[in-house]
Amino acid sequence: MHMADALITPATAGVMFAASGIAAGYSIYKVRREHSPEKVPVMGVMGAFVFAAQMINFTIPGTGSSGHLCGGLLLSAVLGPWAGFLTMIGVLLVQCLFFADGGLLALGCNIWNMAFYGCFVGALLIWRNVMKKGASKGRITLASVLGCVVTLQMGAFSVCVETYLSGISALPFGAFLTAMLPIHLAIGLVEGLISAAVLCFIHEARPELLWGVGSGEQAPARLSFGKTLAILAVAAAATGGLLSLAASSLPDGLEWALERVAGTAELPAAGSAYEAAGKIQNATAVLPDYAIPGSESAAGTTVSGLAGALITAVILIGVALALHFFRRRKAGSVEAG
Amino acid sequence: MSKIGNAARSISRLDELARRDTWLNRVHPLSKLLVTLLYLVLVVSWKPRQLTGVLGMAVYPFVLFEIGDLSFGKALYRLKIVLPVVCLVGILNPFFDREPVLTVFGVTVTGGVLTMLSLMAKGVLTVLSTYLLIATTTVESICSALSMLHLPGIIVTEFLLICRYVSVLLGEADRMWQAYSLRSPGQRGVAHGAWGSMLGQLLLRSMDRAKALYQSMCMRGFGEDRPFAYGRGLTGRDVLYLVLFAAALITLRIFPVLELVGKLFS
Amino acid sequence: MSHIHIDITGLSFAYEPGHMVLDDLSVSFHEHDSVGVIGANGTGKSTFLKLMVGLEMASSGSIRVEEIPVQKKTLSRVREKIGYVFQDSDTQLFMTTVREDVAFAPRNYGLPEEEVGKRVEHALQTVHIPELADKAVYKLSGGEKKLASIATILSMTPDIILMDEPSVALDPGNRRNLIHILNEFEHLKIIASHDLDFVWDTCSRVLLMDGGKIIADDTPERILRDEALLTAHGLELPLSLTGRDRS
Repeated sequence: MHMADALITPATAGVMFAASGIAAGYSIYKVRREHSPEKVPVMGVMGAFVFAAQMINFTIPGTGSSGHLCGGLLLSAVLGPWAGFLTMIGVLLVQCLFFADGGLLALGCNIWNMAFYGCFVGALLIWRNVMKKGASKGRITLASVLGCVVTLQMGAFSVCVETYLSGISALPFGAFLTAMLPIHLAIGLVEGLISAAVLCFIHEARPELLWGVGSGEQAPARLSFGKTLAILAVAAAATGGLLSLAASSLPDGLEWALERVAGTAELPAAGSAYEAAGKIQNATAVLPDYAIPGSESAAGTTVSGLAGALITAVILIGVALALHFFRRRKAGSVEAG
Repeated sequence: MSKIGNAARSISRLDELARRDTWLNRVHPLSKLLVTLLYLVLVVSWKPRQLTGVLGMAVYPFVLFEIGDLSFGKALYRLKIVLPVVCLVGILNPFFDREPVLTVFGVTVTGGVLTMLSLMAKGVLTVLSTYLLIATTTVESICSALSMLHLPGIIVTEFLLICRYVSVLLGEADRMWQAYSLRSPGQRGVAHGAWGSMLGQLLLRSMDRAKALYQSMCMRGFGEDRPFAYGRGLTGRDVLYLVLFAAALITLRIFPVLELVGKLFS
Repeated sequence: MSHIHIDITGLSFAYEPGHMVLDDLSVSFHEHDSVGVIGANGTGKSTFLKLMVGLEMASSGSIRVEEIPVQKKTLSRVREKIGYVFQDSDTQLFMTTVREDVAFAPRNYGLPEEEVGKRVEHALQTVHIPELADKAVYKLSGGEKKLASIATILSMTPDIILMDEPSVALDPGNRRNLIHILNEFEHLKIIASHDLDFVWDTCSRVLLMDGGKIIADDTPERILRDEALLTAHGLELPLSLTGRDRS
């Protein structure tokens, strides 16, 4: 569910960067407070581990297909949610830079959709509470499957919201959701089962590595649970607030998408709605639309614009070919001489 | 598993490109990073129907691929992940948005077609420009740029370590998979009975490696507060690169350059 | 007596109570010593080396490195004097290029960049791999990684070098090269290994360990030729000393 740069607008990207940034800042604060410098190399190597683990295919019983791992909950169950979250940031950065999976601009969205829910909701809220009374195979499986299914649903939902707010797809929001959620239910289930298998293995081999097990006995549980909820509530409220702020500054996206759905039935009415949306859009856009007077760009694209694109492409390709030709001749003459 | 081999090869190929000694590779990573980010923002800031605007932005990757002597083919191959998703999201636009917007050589183009094409163009351009950055900038220089942007040291160090150990752990995962597949012929993936032990073993080994790694770092004076990434400072040339490209990109974004070119010839 | 030395008295260590890995060791090492610590697998050789640099802390007894007791608060002073080469080069080399890795320690000790550069050049010259400076670590061969690992500690200009199984996974050419380089390092070096041929070629003193104790401490001549002693402690005569050929 990595989002590409093309699917979002700068405003959505900015909001999600801010949200993920706040979560990252808090995680850094928590990790620093642990005073365990060995966490840093552990995070680095475990990030690489998640990466390698994602490359292994797992046969899903009863189907011919195979699945792989995303890793947020698994990492957090070993490193704790704070270090797990920071590790996932590194993993997502590597994925977008080296594999074009996700994008630099969409990194904030991807951190939120995959790392935040997986680490904070999956591990901090679900895993820790299920493990409070100690770990067993049943409880580990329950926590993993529940955690992965819930967090992947939340992630998929966020993908829909972010895409929708960016207003790049004419797909109605409901249709988008009905496409995304069931798929991610299945993916979450598989991811949950794989995580459960790994964590059960760790539980047998090196139980001390599991995070948050039996935390109910050491710390006053109600307080920490309440605190967790509070943090999540604040984060959710902040995000919701920021998102609605972004949405209100981007009326064109919403209006446009709504208008598309309506527009298929009733064109004239939708036309006026589009004009209104266009006016607001022009008033609020960060970057101006074409500023040259007399430009026919109200609709966004013009015939002369397309012709210009064609001509520019021809010129550029011509220059490039000429450069290549000269380069080769130069290389040839050096070799000859 | 060929997937592991492909991943390892793709990392090593990018690394080799980044370690070449070309003019573009020598530009300070901070300048390149900032220009790339600016470019990404400007590309996705075009409204859905402004296809020519998005197309105009193609000038930047085109020129820099030429300067950096990079191959378009290899970069376009990276689109295999992004493009299907983008197409899936955009492909329905022509069906929903049938408002005729303009007529080119007698063919009526609807808003949906424009938005679909501009979405795809955005997908291609954003991937190309990120490739441009990573194919001309080494991991350690990117880390030094991130440090200069005051990204917390903990994340920079972790990112550098992930990059260093990805190849090591990919190799380990590959060997485990080979050992597994040699004893389980005809299986395309790991059967579910071995899910836990396969990844669990890899996880435990990784934790042990991390512990040894920490000892090794301590032996050479590692401290949490010490910087991990070192890079040179910005020179006049780097600043010039940043300013010139930023100005050029903003010009492309503000003025209808392609439209003007088109009018010139009509 | 010179200033470079390590004194160990009554050293004991256990990972779990009652399970002694090292049991009441006392020994001293001096400048120009080239010590091979030998023993079968699991005899505590690596633990012994790790205790000297405080990667593990002794259960009882004392270790003094050039009169500095190895304790939590003296670790950074001790580690400035001792370079430790890990068995696995991928553990030793954690930066992305050889140059960055060799420069890691001098930078951490706060040297100016110019001096760091000089140290790096010199360290790479010493192990004869200046041409690998800007190569990515994951592209190095096993032998190159080992040499680079040694360079990463030489850049700290240590008085003492500790090496854990340095000859593992080296081909004959790289092995010979490593022996040559180690013999050029004139300060104190301590090598833990069960590769007795390697110890024979590099060491002037041998410590035979078994069951957490030092069984013998003598010249290579006396220990490595004593077949009865070696076999009694799970080792075999070095191939080069067996006198047998392949018939």
